[in-house]
Amino acid sequence: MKASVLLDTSFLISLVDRNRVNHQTATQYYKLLLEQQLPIYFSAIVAAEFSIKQSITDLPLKNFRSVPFNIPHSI
Amino acid sequence: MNSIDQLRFAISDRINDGEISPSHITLMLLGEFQKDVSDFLKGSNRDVDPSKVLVSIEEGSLAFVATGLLAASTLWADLEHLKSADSLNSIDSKRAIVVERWQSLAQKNPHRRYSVVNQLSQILFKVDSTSNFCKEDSWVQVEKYLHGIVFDIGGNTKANVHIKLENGETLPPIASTHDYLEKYGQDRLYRPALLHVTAEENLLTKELRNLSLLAFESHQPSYDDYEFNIMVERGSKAWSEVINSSAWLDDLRGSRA
Repeated sequence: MKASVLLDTSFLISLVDRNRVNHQTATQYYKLLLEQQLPIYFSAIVAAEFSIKQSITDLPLKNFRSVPFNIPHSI
Repeated sequence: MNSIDQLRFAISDRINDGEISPSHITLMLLGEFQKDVSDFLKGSNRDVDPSKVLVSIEEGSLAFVATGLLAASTLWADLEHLKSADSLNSIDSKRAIVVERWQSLAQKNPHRRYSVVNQLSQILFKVDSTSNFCKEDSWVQVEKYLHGIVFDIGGNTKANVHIKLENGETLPPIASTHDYLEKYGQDRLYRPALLHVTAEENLLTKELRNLSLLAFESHQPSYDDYEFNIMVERGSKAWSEVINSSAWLDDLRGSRA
């Protein structure tokens, strides 16, 4: 089965903020994931956390696979 | 032979005023019962390999006696659960489907009875018109994005989409409309697709049913340097007040005093 990644909020903060210690590392991972065509999942929970400080429309949403929050995720 | 190595699956009914038996049964009923017994033994995890199970067909009315079941641990655990009528949520979903199917058939036909008995002639469970095996309603409405290959699309009376997921799983048909597929469904056969759907998901088995297509979504990931730089420009400002993102997230999630 093909590998895939689930983004977490810390990764996204490092990716979008050039002042973060891990910004370059996050950028390299991001480019590698796209280059390798690996599925990048973006959950509704992470979207909710990230959007407290920045609109998710700033993110490259077309590159992500949305994961809606459903009842089975809550149990 | 060990007492827990053998099970006897029996079916009783009447055909043309005669009790069914190995010498008096329709080909269809024999095939259905054989499949049910095989499905029950296998369960979802192929706990038992039917190709290695020896079976004898006996009178009374018609019975399959399966041997070589000693190592089938979930099978025996499920049989223990089936002593209770409210057990269908507790057992393997494939086995529950067989029991539900037997119950449905028996409720329509008072002559139809099923029993499963061990080698000591102890009835492990039986199904007849009075049985009341029940299952809690464990289906919830969900919304999902499904990625896979469309292997069939359209239909004369029902317009639907058939998709094989990236993990190889094939889902039930995804309902759509003729109008939508005429407008957006062309040139999608045998190609990767991202489908936005609603469905009902079983909380216990993760099975999906009643899938309905909301839309075909566009999904062609690619890196764009210009877009990336704008995102970083905005992000660096937006997060400038958050010195320690880990601590900020811990606070947000309520895990710090």
